[in-house]
Amino acid sequence: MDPVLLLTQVLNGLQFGVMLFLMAAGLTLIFGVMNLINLAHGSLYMMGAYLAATLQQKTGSFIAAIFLAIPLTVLLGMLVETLALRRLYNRDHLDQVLATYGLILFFNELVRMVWGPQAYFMALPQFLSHHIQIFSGLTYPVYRLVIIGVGLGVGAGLYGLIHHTRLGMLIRAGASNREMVNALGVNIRLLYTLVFGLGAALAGLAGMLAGPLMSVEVGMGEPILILAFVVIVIGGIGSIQGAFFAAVLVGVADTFGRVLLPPGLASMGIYILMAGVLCWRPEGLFPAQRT
Amino acid sequence: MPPLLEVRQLVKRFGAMTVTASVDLTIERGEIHAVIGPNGAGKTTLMSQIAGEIKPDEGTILFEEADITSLAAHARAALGIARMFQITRVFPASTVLENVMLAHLSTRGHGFRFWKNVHTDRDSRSAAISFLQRVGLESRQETPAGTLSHGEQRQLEVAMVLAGDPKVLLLDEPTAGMGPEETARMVALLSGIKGQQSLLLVEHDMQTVYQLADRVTVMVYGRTLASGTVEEIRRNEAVREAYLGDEKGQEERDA
Amino acid sequence: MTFRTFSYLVFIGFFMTLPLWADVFHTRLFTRILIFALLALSLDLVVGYGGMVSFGHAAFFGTGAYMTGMMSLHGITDALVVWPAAAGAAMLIALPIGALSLRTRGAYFIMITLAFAQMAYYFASGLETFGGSDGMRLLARNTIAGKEILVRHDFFYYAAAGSLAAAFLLCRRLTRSRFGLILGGIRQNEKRMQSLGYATYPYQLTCFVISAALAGLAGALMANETLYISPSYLHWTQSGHALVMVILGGLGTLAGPVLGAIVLLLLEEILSAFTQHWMIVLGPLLILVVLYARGGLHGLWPQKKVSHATTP
Repeated sequence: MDPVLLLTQVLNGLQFGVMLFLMAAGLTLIFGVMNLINLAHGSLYMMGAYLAATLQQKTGSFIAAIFLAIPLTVLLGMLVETLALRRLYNRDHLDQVLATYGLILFFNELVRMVWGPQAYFMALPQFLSHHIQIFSGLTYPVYRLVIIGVGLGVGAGLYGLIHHTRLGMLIRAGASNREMVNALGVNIRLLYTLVFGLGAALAGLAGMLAGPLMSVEVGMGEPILILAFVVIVIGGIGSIQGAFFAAVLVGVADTFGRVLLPPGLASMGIYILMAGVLCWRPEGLFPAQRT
Repeated sequence: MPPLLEVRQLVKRFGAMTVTASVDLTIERGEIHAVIGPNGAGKTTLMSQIAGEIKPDEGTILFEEADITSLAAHARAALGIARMFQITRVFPASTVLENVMLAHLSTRGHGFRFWKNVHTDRDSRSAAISFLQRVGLESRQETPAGTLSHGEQRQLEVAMVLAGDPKVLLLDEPTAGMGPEETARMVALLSGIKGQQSLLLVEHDMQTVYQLADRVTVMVYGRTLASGTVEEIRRNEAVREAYLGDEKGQEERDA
Repeated sequence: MTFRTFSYLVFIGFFMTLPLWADVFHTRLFTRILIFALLALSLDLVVGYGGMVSFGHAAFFGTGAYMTGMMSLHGITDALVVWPAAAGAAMLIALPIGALSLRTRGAYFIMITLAFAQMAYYFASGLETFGGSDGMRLLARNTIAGKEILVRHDFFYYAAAGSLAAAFLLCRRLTRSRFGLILGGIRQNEKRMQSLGYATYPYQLTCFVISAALAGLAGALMANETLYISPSYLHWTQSGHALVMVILGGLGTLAGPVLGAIVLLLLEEILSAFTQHWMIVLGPLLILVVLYARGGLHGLWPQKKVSHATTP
């Protein structure tokens, strides 16, 4: 493979990887802290995309749409958490799967009723819609570079949040020892709602960023949700670092799989990767420390 | 005759904490051997290592002279090492009879029999009932185990470990959390199998230990401090100092 | 006669005579219900009795359907060959998936079975011989010993009902056998079973594979009923749908999943007569069932004794 194509594919893989990371980080955080397996995470991704698409039509600005849509998605996430999901934290995983499956059905139908069955397309503003030359012979879409930048920025921000703030300390403590956090006199309900809101923000952001690349349509959240599960399985449940490295690994592997493998196998590539990791390390590559 | 079970220089660390810091222990055939020691002495961890649920970092465990240190828990159970837990772990949704049948059938070849109704299988049924009679639970056969009282659940546990026909029985505080009446019943039950069954007992209550044990091993801070007959241990100065006569000092150290 | 016996007799009588008095539309609707009941029953064997929450049963359902399609492309159309082959193919697929997934537990197991089913979905979408993501029509229903009797919808109804009845009796034996007893022990406390001397892994894997065979049979039946195979058989919502039937009817009971399939599909039929957006009702309804009606519908059925196959 010639170096230009190789580098292009690496960038494509990285871009896909950081999108997966945004999804997987929220999932793994919510699982790690609240022990909740949340299938409706894909619905938050979809709602984020639809809200941004609508706001872009209303305001005419992509950037404004994103900055307005994120808090709306967070609010929606917190509302769902307060109304339904907080009752599920102490239930077994089967109950959680079914109830959040019910949420998926609800949100998909809601979107179909409000926005109709047809797909939406988000246009990029001028300054994001061109290619730039990285070096002689390699041009790359600016928007994809922006996504990579946003993803890496969010990753760094999350790392800082979790390791250097009081909220982060509570999140880490909550993941390893729930009773202790309770004993510290922390309002654990509020902590859970905040963590869920954070997860919703990340999922919504991923959906908004994906809007201009793919079509915004009903059911768009589930394929990426399942990929995010693969990422979590590979990275180790509850580990943000694991989610990051596994997301990039899956993103790059998927991209190269599509270039190198025959079409039938290409879409299976990352699942084979997952099977390989399972054989080698069933706990994932970076299992979170639990006590 | 070589000992039934032998533990040599066992070491187990969890991170920076050394829980078992060199333990030696031998169990002869047919004896009741008690392990005593203050809280945090590493008794339960020792049991888990013998049962194969925790892998030791160093040391050897010999069972009937064969090295079993790296064997998985179920393989050790198949050899005849049965554990009864400190926390009651019966199968709550299954009936009392089914619980004992599960324990009994584990010694009877594989369980890949898909067709025959296990409840009408005369052999497994009558065997299971005979074990229930030994612990005095035969009238509760069809009760879901989860609805038994705490003491009854412990009795059921004993029936289950006996049904597995073990060569050595590991008992972790069999009377923990029991009232005086239930404790007396349990001690009587265990005295009943004394001499027929090799038994390793972790126990807090010295009264129970003196009633049941043939020999005693004292553990302190993950080490074997002394080992001998009940009389020898009672007279041992180091033991008195570290444990028996000095309860108050111990509490301070624990805190 | 107790009320319980009476209700069973009415229930069985209804299903035995249905094609005699119902029109084609309803005969076919109930044929589909019976097939989904078979799928739900197979899933309950894994989830309710085995304690393994599989979110990937669509893979085995789809394998059965695609096996039927593949054999018909090669001119093999007799049900006596095709249906066992469909079940066998599903078992072959389930063996590696189960072997890998069972290296994990709990939430991991759910995610991994889901992921493997998604892999099978993409694989089926890439099969150009079978029409890729559009799927493929079948020319005709399978024959039985060379006779084209399943063309008649009422005969096919009885074939589906017979398959379900056979599977039901099989599961009944299975769950009351020594194997079933051991499986129940593993579901309740796997560690304890290991300390009793059971190697739990082979039992769980066997349960998983047997269950896949029944799901594969359901897939073959569905391919026959609709004369159409497509990747939608393997879509993840198919797995979710089957799980809903199991929970709605009553987890860890044999009648539960059958009941759940009947009620869910009829409910969908009725709701969709009122509004095309019936899922906006079904979703929250499902959440309410999970939150407030754990025992499922089976818990409302007159009981002889307390079911002892509930997850603690």
